[in-house]
Amino acid sequence: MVQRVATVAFEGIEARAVDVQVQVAPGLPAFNVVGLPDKAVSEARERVRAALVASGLALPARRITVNLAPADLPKEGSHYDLPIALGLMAAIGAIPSDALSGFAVLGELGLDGSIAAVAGVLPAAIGANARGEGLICPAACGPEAAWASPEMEIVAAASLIQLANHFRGTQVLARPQPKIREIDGALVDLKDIKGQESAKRALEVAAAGGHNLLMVGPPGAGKSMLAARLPTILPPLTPAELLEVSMIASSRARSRAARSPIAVRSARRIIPPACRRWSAADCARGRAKSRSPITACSSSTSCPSSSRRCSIRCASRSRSVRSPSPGRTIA
Amino acid sequence: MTYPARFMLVAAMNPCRCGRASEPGFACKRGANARCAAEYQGRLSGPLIDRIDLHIEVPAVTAADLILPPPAEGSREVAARVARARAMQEERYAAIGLPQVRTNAAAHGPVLEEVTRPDAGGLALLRDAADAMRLSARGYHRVLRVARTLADLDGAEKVGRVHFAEALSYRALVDEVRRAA
Repeated sequence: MVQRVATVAFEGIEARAVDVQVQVAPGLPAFNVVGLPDKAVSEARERVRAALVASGLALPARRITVNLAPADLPKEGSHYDLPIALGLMAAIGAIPSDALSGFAVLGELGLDGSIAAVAGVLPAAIGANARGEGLICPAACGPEAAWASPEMEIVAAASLIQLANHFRGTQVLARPQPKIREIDGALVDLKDIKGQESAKRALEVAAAGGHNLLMVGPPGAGKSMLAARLPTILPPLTPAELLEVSMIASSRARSRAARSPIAVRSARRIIPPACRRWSAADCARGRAKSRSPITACSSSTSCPSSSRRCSIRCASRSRSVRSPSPGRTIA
Repeated sequence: MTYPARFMLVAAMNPCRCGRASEPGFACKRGANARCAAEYQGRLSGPLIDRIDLHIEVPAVTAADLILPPPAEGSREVAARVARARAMQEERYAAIGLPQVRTNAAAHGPVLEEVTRPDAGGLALLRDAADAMRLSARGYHRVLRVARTLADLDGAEKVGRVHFAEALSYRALVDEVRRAA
């Protein structure tokens, strides 16, 4: 008997459907995950085992095989923990086996059975909604997922036990409400800059027409200060832009993002560490294209550090990065 | 795999290696100020510079400026003007059937020429300046683009001489660098 659970794999900001198949078969006790899992997915075994034990369940002493289909699509990230655990629970009868049909599942497990937040819940929710599925996600990501659609069924649980109780009907979880993250950190203001009236005027013109701007001046004149205040004078994001930005940041960005690399020498300095992902698989597939390194940007949509993935690819082991934006590059 | 990535580039640089070339009365030990500055600024390639619409010089702030009370106008007031100008642009490009163009920076050649019809004074200035500054075709369109934005900020339908004059002033630094190099 194979238990199936739907989840997603991320390709850019697109969420591709992935089927988690869990089989508990007679044989020597083992727990294997197949289907091109990366290191984080392989380690899911240990987290799932510990989380089930913490929730009062034991892994059956049988041969457990988990397949992530399609098997040729590389699976990255920690969000496969929850679908694997729920598939196992359904396979051993801890939750009704039909409870998971019609749901896409994603979430990371803690050793104590808690469900930790993961990146990419919003694109996953939008993808699941497009396929007519509901979503099971971590409690912390519930408000983010709720943006996808008001009709969609969303279960946002804080632990495996909560989920089990929800499916048994003993303690049903309410649908989360959409929420916007509060801006943290002090805001800057153009008022902070004394003098430099002509530079402020140029900044205003740049913001009004979306023009590129080059400032030349001695150190300490306030060039960086001026540049840092550009997002404060740009108009608020339109709904379409907000969705785009949120998809990339998975709702972690609320305003226009600004990257400010100083003394740029290489692409590695521009790209936030969380976005650097040199995938050997990408190189091997030869999809990588190189262009000049991208540079500082202050835009309606930019790659946020919170997003775990970015369109940066290793091009034949050089340090070039690919930016899907048109032209305008600097070395 | 593609991500949406529209961006505005705001770049800052020093005029020379030590950054003091534009300081009055400064004598560089490495030789003539102008040569060092030209070498240093020449590191930015011409095609790249050509793609930046606005070039400005940001002089050092004097102590006299810092003693003054903070300016009354803050981000909120400026943002309101910017929003008004952007609304004008969106409306204009939507009216001519180009809803994907949202800002003047995204408008291209023929569209730009259509929406930036200079008046007589503006035309004369533009003609003289294009000759004197040896504007490239791209440079010419960049000037039109910036002038259109300036007119939008003023809430003006027509692009006047004053807008072209200011737009050309944002272009002057490019030619200075080019001549020095």
